[in-house]
Amino acid sequence: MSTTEDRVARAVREVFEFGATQPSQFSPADIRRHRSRRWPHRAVVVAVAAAILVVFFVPLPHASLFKRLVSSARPSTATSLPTTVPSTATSVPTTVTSTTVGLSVKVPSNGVVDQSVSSARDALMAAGFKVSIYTRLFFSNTVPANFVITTYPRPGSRAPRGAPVFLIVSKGPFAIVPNVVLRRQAVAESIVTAANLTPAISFVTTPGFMPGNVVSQAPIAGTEVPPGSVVTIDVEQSSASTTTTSSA
Amino acid sequence: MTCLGVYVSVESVSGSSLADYDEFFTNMRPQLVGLAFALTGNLQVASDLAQEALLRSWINWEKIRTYQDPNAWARRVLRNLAANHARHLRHAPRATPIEDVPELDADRVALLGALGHLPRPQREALVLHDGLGLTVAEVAVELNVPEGTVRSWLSRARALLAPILSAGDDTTEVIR
Repeated sequence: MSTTEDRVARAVREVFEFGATQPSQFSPADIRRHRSRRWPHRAVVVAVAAAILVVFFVPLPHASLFKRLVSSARPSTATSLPTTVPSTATSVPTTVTSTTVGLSVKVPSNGVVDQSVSSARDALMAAGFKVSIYTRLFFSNTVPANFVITTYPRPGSRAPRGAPVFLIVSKGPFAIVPNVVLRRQAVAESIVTAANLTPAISFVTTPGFMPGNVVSQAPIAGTEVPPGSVVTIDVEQSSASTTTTSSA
Repeated sequence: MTCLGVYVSVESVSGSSLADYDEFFTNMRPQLVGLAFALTGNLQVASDLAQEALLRSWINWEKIRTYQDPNAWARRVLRNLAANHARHLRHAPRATPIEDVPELDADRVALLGALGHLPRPQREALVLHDGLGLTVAEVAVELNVPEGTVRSWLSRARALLAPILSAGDDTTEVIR
């Protein structure tokens, strides 16, 4: 170590020893007494941390739990079981059993499926569901038009009281449009007629097609339409004039 | 309650543990006060910081008494406390950073002031090595840096402090 460094080291050592040789202002007993005043502070910190954890990190039940608790506390006609559904012209009087467990209600299947829309709505209202019911229309070859095919949520499943229920309603039977493009006109007409549809022939001039062959059709093949709907068939002709003939 | 349990367990430490702590206290108190004084330049603050470090040692005594070197743990706590104190001073109005210590000569008081202007790692390395007498390897372990870094810090710190000490107390320096 060079002399300069030696001097600095000696000075630092003197400073250190000066501090180290100061008389003690506290004893181990002081330290231990101090300790006993510390733990309530730590208890407060732990309690606050636990409260924060509970408030922010404990998963709460469903958001509408409070709402449902309040609604379940009110007297409701839906809890009077069983309920008799008002009879309608299309359905016999049916007894709807809505099983209530906790806050959810079982979607009834009796009196809803294969019933008319009005009768199904009455049954669902009696079971405690919301009056505002959506309907969606689907073709069905088994359920007549304006009758309920099924519901969403499914019949027999559980849903919160007052929840909206979707009614899947039949639009009646359907026919599937067959593919007749590139067929001869007579063959196309017979196919469409056999599919319970009405062909409408339209003559067009399109380069590249043989006269008498079907160029295009509307609606396209595979579309579900009510029986008897008109299917337009465009047939190639050699002359420039275009005429429309309906064989219906 | 967990905190109450900790409290009770600390209070019900065995007699041998108490004796161990008393020995630890007796050995470490001068060392910690000296370190804190060299790091902060204020005797009252040094005493407070040493007391706080010893208090924390007592709180965690059941754990740190099993350590290989409980003294290093206490020194680390003291260095952190001194750094926090310096950080606090930066924002507080600075009245008298270095107190007038009548027992120290002017050179040592000037050195204390200059120590306060050194970067923290250099100051700690210098005090641990030259003041406390740790070897470079021990300082490197304590500061968690390579030995070469410690040597570099020591060299720079001494180079910065050398002009502050008056040349009068060393004739060889005058001749050079």
